[in-house]
Parts: sequence; structure tokens; C-alpha cells
Amino acid sequence: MPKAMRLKEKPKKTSAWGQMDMPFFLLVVVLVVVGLIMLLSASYPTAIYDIKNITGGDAFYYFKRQAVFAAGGIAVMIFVSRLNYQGLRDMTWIVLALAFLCMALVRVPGIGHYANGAYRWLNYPVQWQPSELGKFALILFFAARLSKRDERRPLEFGRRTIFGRFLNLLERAGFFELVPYILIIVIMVGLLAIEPHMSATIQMLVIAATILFAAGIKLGWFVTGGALAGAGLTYIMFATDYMTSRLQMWRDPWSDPLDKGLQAIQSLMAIGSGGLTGLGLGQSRQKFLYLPEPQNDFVFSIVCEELGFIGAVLVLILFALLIIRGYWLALHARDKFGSLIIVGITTLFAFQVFANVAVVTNLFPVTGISLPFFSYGGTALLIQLAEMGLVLAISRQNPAS
Amino acid sequence: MALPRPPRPDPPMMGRVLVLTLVFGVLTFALLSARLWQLQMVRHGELEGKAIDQQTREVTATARRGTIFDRNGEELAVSASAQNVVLSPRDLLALVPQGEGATPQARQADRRRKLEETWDRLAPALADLLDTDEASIRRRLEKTNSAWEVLARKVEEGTADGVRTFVEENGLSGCLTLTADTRRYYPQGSLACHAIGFVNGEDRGAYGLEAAFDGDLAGENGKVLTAKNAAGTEMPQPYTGYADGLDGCDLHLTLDAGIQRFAEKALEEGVQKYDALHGGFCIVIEPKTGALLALASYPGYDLNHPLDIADRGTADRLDRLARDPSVDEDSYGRAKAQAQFVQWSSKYLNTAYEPGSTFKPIVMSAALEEGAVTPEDRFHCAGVVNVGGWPIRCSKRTGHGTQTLQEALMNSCNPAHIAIGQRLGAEKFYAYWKAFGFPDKTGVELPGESGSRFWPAEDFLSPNGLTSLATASFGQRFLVTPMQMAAALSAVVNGGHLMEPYLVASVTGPDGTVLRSHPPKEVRRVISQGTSDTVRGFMEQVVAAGTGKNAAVAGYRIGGKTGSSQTGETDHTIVSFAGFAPADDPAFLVLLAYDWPRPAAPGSTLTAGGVTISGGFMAAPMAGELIANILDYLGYEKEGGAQVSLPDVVGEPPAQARAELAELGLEARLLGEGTVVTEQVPAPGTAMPAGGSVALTLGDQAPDQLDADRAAFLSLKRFVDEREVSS
Repeated sequence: MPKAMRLKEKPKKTSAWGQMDMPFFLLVVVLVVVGLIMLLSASYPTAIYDIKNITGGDAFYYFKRQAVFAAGGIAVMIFVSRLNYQGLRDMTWIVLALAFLCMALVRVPGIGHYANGAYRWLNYPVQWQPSELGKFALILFFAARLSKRDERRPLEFGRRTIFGRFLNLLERAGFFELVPYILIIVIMVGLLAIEPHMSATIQMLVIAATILFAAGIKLGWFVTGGALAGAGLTYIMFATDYMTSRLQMWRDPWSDPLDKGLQAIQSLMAIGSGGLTGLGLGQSRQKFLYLPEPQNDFVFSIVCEELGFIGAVLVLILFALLIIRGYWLALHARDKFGSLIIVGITTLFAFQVFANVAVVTNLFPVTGISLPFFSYGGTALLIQLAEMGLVLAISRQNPAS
Repeated sequence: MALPRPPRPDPPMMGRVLVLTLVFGVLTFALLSARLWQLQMVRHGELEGKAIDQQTREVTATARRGTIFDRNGEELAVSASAQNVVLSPRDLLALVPQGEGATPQARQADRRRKLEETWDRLAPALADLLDTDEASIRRRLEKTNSAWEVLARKVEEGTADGVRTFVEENGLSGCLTLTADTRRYYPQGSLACHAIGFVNGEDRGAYGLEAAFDGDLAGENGKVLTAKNAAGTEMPQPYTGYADGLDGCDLHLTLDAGIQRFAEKALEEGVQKYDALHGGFCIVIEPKTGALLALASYPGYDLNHPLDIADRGTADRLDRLARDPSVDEDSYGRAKAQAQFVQWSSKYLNTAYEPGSTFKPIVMSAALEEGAVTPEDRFHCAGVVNVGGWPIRCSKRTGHGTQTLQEALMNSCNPAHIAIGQRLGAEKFYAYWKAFGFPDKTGVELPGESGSRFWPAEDFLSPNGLTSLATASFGQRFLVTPMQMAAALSAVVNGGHLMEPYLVASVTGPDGTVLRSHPPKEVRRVISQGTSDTVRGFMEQVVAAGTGKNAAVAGYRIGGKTGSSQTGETDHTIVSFAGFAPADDPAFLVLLAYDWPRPAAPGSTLTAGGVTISGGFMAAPMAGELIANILDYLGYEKEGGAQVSLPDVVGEPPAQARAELAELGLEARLLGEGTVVTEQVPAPGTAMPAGGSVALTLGDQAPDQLDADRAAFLSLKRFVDEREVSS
């Protein structure tokens, strides 16, 4: 279908392509609104009692800030959805370089911000986590490069030497194709390790693997990589005291109910208190200083307590629909580049939701993964919505089905 | 389509994205939903229970325990508000700042150090404040999993204020709290301790009426369920509950605190005077109704400190045991527990004794009632009588000679009573034993009532029961409780009605309504009015001229009977006196006994103070004084007329003065000669018994010292008198 014809049909459109995907857009908006309501409910006791002297007793402290970022975020999402994502192909190296730079800067005194035993934040222009940019840069780079893998010429080595034949074997197995990706992953993981940032590392590995998987990399490499990652993870879990004690807390949070097991226990009590129908919106009891900082990672516990099993599963279904729609958009993208970007963003999003709920239900040991659209955190919300905007931008270029 | 199209997702990629959709869009959510099902549906009850446990605070609203009043409304046991001091070591943890340091271990150690510092600071201060042991406070502080450690129970308002200040100064609100409680006070100390009893640490009755009427006195505690946040502050949440409490009921006793004091004084003085090794008891009962006016038992104890041994000698002995290194803690504990048991048990109800000769009026009543004897019968006493081959001596070794029935009682003659018992016969004796209520418990409201011990009927009624009948006839070799004796003797003197002794006249609710009352309850009619009158008359003569004459108090008509029972133990005598007054219409009956006055030497019949060990010499005088005190307290006038206030007859003609005095039952003795009374002795206004005499000095004219007021009064009086005469 010629481009000119379409332009004639919809002359008012500023963009050259079709409508963004409304189901995806609406699901995002609904989730943001529900998330805001639940954030208000979960955060106001903490805000009123203000034990850490942050809010000055303003019940709406967290809500107001989150609402401003949500509104701004939706505007950014709509703005991004109108951009032509094709331009990103040329920006992959710049974005990647910027991400590396920022991730390295967190260790620079004055610029980087230290909290909870790690350097994860930059103070400029606002306080934000460069690892978020890093994840995006990785998605972009992987998608751009992998979308062109059909154009790649296989390397050929002299067949006369055993070494040469070995290299040819590696090439046929797809190893040399993977080298740039592995390099990027190693640099990313290295930069995250010095922060340190365990949960971002895992997310990085998951999205990298997913995009490679979607792009058609041979399954054997995932088996190999999975085995390596599994071995590494096992080593970290059992060889370091810190992780071992964390695992112990995961298996039996009641062994230290007032300190290390506190969050897990209080979260379980909150979820269990919900029952089938919950205590009612706003009626959580656990948010009254029992569950520490319920506006952050553990906001979903309060959702479970107030809305019950039915409400919690409904929220999960909303997330699932958004994710399934995301993959659907990936399948219907105009090109492989867009498709892989959506796969990356959707998987990142899906993994965050899964990991967060798994942590608050004590399926996973406690790690700092927030719940997208629900947990308090302005810049994170802004970045997530911008990424949703990118998905929508790609959806606009979907060929009419 | 010449334009080169960018690569589209190819079929293998589609397959792989579908796999991702399945994994991240479906499987993970199925897993999470299953987990939520497990937590929210399967483990809902368990987790919610845990949550509610930590979110709520149940406060007991202690019901006020009822008051025990004596018959005049005097408070014998009251409850006042008090405070419990409760520590939450867990919440204290939250007040200790986070540890600092580079590694988690260092931070943990630092936190621990700060916590220990806090404990070190608080433990001595709290121990000082609450007057307790520092080590125990420290132990409680270290129980960091606990949120409820009661540091001190039932502290008074002064201490509670100290705690409040301490909490404020140290910022401990939420960690150290005061909870309302009540505390039992016994304003009269040891007064009627065995009857009233005391409460345990939980304010539940442990002894006496406190135990017997615990259900009425305790009331029902209320419960307040409040929601709290994790800082311990109460929250305005709707899931709170309130269960109304109900204050306890009040007891109104028949006991008269005034009479009780007299009884305890008589008891204690006698125990000390005669060195009674096993103390004694004193019952004052209203014969017509069975209402108990006083219940005293020695040794007693302070109701406010029931665990302390009140008896000085016993306490000293325990102290020596405590200091003796050869005595281990166990045997000291046993000795102390034994001493506590002794002082908590009453001798008037919880133990039985041999009544001795105080039982004789009962035997005589039975014999008279059955016509086995008449007041005209004569009984001979040779000082000893042979019963079934056993010689039984009379207290007077030379014998009383020939006596009337009345004299037999007055002399407390054993051979005469053996004869009376034999005339009555074992069968009838036994029937009256039953009729006077001895085989049964009296039913008085106090717990722990002992039973009596008598020969089995088949033995007593058999030919072999001869000696039993003989000894029973003068009140020996069997055991009854003093309460049974008081009830039986009441029946003897009140016209023959066996009344159930009772202590609680009524129970009133918190609003003052009478919930239950105890009207006098007749168990059965035992003897006729005539028999009762006869024996009562005999008993008055016992006091007037018989063995009980030491109980006589001039001006009062008192009846009674002495008793000295030789128990099985060497030199162990129980001396007693049962008396009543006024003798013609008894308002009360007193049964006073001293257990085991210490003889001067083994086998001696005298105490170190030279008093003969017998009811007549020991119990009778004490009882006489007690009866006189009670009579006076109850407002009985001494015999010989009422007390009159002497009128002013100065200035009156002798004839008029004499007539005026005669009208009041006073005799005028005139001194000197004259037309007018110039002086009178005693002075006007003096209280005088009727029948007394007044000395009047006569002169020619009224004394000059009559002042103007007096003259005016007299003229006014004359004026009024004349007016009355003329009208």
C-alpha cells in the first residue's frame, strides 16, 4: 500500500502512520490510575506518622508527587508514541555510551548518591537510576543489531589448520555473532556489580536473554548461558554470608520476626488478612506502621489486604493483559527492530511485575524490585511510561491487519 | 513494491515470541495467582489471626469487687483502684537507634551495645521506682519478644505518678504503661480475719467469705478491644469491641464490728494472761435468730498481709529457722506454710473440740424434756462414781453430797450428770445429740467447716456404751465444733429452737438492690419453752452462785456454764465458758474458750500466774467482762433502774425536793434543819442509778450565790408551772 494514499485518507495526522494501539494504551492508563489510588491508600499512614521525618505529616505527600509524575508520564508517553522510532536505529551507540557513562558516574562523589549500602542513583538532573537507562540502552542496542542479523555475513576461516576449522565450527554454532552482545552484557553487569545492584543485574540478564531468544539465537546458547548463570547464582547464594542469611530468611522469615524477617512476615500477614474479598479499599490495618514503607516495594501486599484475592487477581489480570497485548504488538510490528524493542520492554515490565509479586508473597527472597505503576518512585514511573510510549509508537507503524 | 522492506518478524521468531507470551503473560501469573490463593484462602485464618494479634490490644476493665459491711455499715473489706505497671520490651527495642558501622556485623554489634546501655540505665531506675529486685527487672527487659511484662502489680497512686513522670522524662510512652486494676483493702486489719478471709493475687477469694462469696463479690470484668498501630498508639479503626463489666455485689454481715472488737480483746487478753498454747476462740451469737455477732479465733493475722505470720512467737521461731544454716529452704518453706495454714484456719469452725461441762445444759435439757428428771429430783455425789468398772471422779474429790438438779448444774457435778445421762438412756441421748444438730454441719456460710466426732451409734447404744454415755453426759471424749455448740446452746436458752447460724444477712447488687437475704432459719424445734426456761434459770444460778460466779457482773443478769475439758493429751485442757445475757431474755450468747493454758509445772492445775486451770477461773471472768461490755455497747441498763439525771432542787422546800427525787426513784437524805434546800450532793445534772440517795443540806433561805440568770429561770419555771396547774 503506497504511503501517499494513506496520507490522503487521513490528512490531519501529523505522523505518517496509523493510530496507536488503543487496548494497550487504555490498559496502561487504567493500571496507572489504579496504581495511584492504591499508592494513596498504602502511603497515607506512613505519611501521617512520618517516622523518618520526610513528609511533615502530610497524608498526601507521596500521592501528590506520584500523581504529578503520572500525569507528566502519560503526557510523555503520548509524546513518545508520536515519534518515529526508526530514528532510534542510528542512536543506539550514543544511548549505549550515555548509559555506560551515567552508570559509571554513580561512583563519583557529589554526583552519585549513596543509599542503603549502594551507589545506584545520580543526583542530576533529578535523582534517578542510570541502570534504568542502561536497560533501555541494552534493549535498543540488541534490537537494532539483532534486527540486522540476516544481513550479517558469516565469518570464514582457513580450513587448513585445526584452529581455523575450530573457528569455523564456532561460527556455524553462532558464537562469533554473539560476541558483541556478550561484551555489552559483561560491561553492563560489571557496572551494576560495582554499585552493587543485584535486582537490576538479574533484570538485565533476563531481558538480554529474552531478546536474543526472540531474535532466533540457537537454543543451545541459552542452555549454556542458563547453566552458567545458574551456577553463578548458586555460588553467590551459598558462598556469601549475606545471601545465605537472606535465603534463610526467605525460607523461614519467622526465625527473625522483628528484624530480617520483618518485611516478609508483615507482608504475608497483610496478604493473608485479605481473604477472598479483602478488608475494603482503604481499610488495611497492616499499613499502620506494621508493614515497613508500604508505598514502596510492598504496595501489592496492601492491594491484597484491601481488595482480597479477587481484587489482587484482577490487578494481576490487568498486568497480564497488558503484557500479552505487548507481545501481540511485537508479533505485529512493522519490522524486526520494533518487534524486538517491544519484546525487550514488555519482558522487562513482565519480569518486574512477576518478581515484585513473587517477593511480596515470599515466593522469592526479598530483592528491591518495585511494582510498575504502583510503587512510589517518580522517575521510575516516568521512564516506564516513556517506554510504554515507545511501544505505542511502534504500534502506530503496524501494517494494517 | 520496489522499496526494500525492513525485515519482518519471521515464523520462527513468531513461535519464540509466543513462547514468551505463554511464559511471561500466562504461566507467571498463574503461579502468582496460585500463591495468592494459598496465602489468602488456605492460610487466611492463620495469617489473619497473627495480624490481629499484633494489631489489637485487649484491656481488661477490672470490675470493682464488692464491699463487705458489718451490720452497722462499717466497711470490713473494700476495693480501691490501683495500677499495674506493664513493660513492653519489644516496643522498647523500637526506641533504640539503629546501629552504625561499615559491615552488617558491626552495625548489629553497635545496636546490641546501645540496647544494653538502655537496659543498664532503665533497670536500676525502675527497680528503685517500683521497689523491686533489679535483677528481675533486667530479666524482663531482655525478653525482647514479649510485649507484656507486668513489672509491678497493684501499685498505689503515688508510685503510679512516679511511673508517669519516669515515662515522660525518658520518652517511654508505648513501652511502659499503667493499666487500671483494683486492690483489696481491709480497713480493720486483722478484725474478724478468719470470717472475712482474703483474696489471692488475681483478686479472687482465697479464704473465708471472700472465697465463699467470690462469685457475688467478684463481679465480671469488662473487656475493651482496641486497635493499635505498630508504634502502640491506638487507632481510630472500627474493628474494636467492648464488653461491659459488672461490678461485684456487696455483703452485709450480721457481724457487729464493735462486738467483734470486744470479743477479740477478751480472747487475746485471756490467751496472753493464761499463756494458752493453742490460742482460743470466741463466738457471739444471737440465740433467737442464729445471727453471728462476732467470730474470733486466735491466732489471727493481718488481712492486708495474710502471708506474714502475725503471732510473735511463731514468727520468731520461723526467723530462727531462716537464719539456721542447718535448715534447708524446703523445710523452712514447709514450716512457714504450716504456720500460715494454722493462722488462716479458724478454731471456731475449722476444728472440733471437746466441749466439756458446757455440754451439761444440753444433756439436762434433754432429760428434763423427756421427763427423765425433774427439778425436784435429788442427786448424790460421793466424789467418784463407778461406771462399767471404771472410776470417774468429780472435780470436787470430796463429793458434792446431795444436790438438787439446779445444784448439780451449779456445781458442774460429774456423778450427778452421769446419773442424769443414765436416766435419759443412751437411745434418747443419741436422739437429742441428733436433734441438737451435732451430726450435721451447721450450714454457716464459711468454707472449711469441720464435722463432729462421736461414737458410732451401734457402739453407743450397745451395753458396752455405758462408759461412753457416762463421759458424754459431762461433755467429754467426743468432738464438736464450737459453731455447733453455739447453735445448740442457743436452742437451750431461746425456747428450744435450733437456729442455723449465719453470717451474711444480705447480698446487694452494685445499684443497692437486695439480691438475696438470709432470714433467720429454724432447723428444728428441739425442746419446749418450759424446759428452756427451767434450764436458763439454772444457768443464771450457775453464774449467780455456782462455778460460773466469776462471770457475774453486778447489775446485769447473766446466765452461763463453765467447761474444762481434759483432752487425751497430757496437761492439755480447754477451758471455756458459755454465757448469755440478759438471762431472762437472752440477746446474745457468748462461747469463749482458751486452748491449753500452760500449767506452771507438768501435772500442775495452776498456771505460772497462780490461776487454777478451769473454765470457772479463766474463761468465766473474761467472758463476764466481755458480756458486760457487750451489754453496755448494746445499751442495756444495769439492774436496779435506769440511770437518771439529777434535778436541781436547791432553793426548794424539803418536802417538794423529797417528792421530786422520789419520783425519780432517788432517796433524799436531809442534813441539818431549815425551810429550804441550800446544797445538794451530788451536783445537779449528775447521772445516778435509780435507788441511789442524794444528800440535801437545809437552811433558812436560798443561797445568795444564785445568780440573776438562775433566778430568772426559776421564776420563769414557776410561772410555767403555775400556768400548767391553773389550766
